[in-house]
Amino acid sequence: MTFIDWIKQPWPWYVAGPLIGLTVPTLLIIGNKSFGISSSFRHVCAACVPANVPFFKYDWKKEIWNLFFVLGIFLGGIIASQWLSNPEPIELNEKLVSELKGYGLSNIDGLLPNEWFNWSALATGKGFFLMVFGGFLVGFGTRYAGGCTSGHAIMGLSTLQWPSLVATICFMIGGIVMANWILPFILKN
Amino acid sequence: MQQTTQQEHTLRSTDAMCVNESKLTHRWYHHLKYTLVGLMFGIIFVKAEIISWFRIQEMFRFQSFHMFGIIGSAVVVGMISVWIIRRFKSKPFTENRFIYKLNHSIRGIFMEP
Repeated sequence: MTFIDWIKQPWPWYVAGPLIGLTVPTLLIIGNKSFGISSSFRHVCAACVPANVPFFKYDWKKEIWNLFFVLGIFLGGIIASQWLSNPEPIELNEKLVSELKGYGLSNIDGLLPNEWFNWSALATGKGFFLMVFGGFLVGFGTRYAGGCTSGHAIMGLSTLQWPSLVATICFMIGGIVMANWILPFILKN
Repeated sequence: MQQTTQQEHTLRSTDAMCVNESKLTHRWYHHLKYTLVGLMFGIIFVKAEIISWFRIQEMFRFQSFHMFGIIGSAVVVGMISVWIIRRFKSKPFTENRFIYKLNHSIRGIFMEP
């Protein structure tokens, strides 16, 4: 097995988890930065459409490191999916696979169900709801909570902040309710 | 000038977890180190299938340990790292202090009954 074949396998949790945890001290050490991703949305808004909203009226250039960081994540995603992707199909829990088949999904390749998330599906009611309304909720919730999942769960919990613990618990509850009760209802119809 | 800086800081703190204003002015390419960290981060997220829609479904249905292992170990590693960094930052690690501590701990070892 060559190195590239080895690296192409899915990375186990005990490799990925500690590496993600180490991002926090790395950013603190190289530039005294608090790890966070969703602030970049705000900086982009402040840079592109400040629209006289007080929330966006600040010197976004002082936070430009965050945009460089997010650019890196984007490029890393491209590299990993273009050249390091796993040739084998994803190993999923059988229960989930049979449940998804029940909703009419036949193809479980890739990172998301291509049959439901594609350009032509965007024109259908269900697709529009899942992608556009879902995206709206992600943006709204992130701002309402003052941070996204990674900011609150990784940086917030690492620095022992109570609001982040509350946010993380709520993210989990929201996800459990959505995945178990609301999403099956949407997919059935 | 001072007041406007203060105002800006207050404004930026609204509804945000953290304010990361840089006190230094760097040339743009100094920020590329963050791109490098981001690059690693992005690769990890794809390779560990964290951004997989299927893995997220598995997690919320409690059908797999994978995501919980990732979140749990990431938080533990993050917590320990922040704790170590804070410890070193709040107490400047001067040579004197080091000798004092060493002295203290050696005494402690020998003085214990």
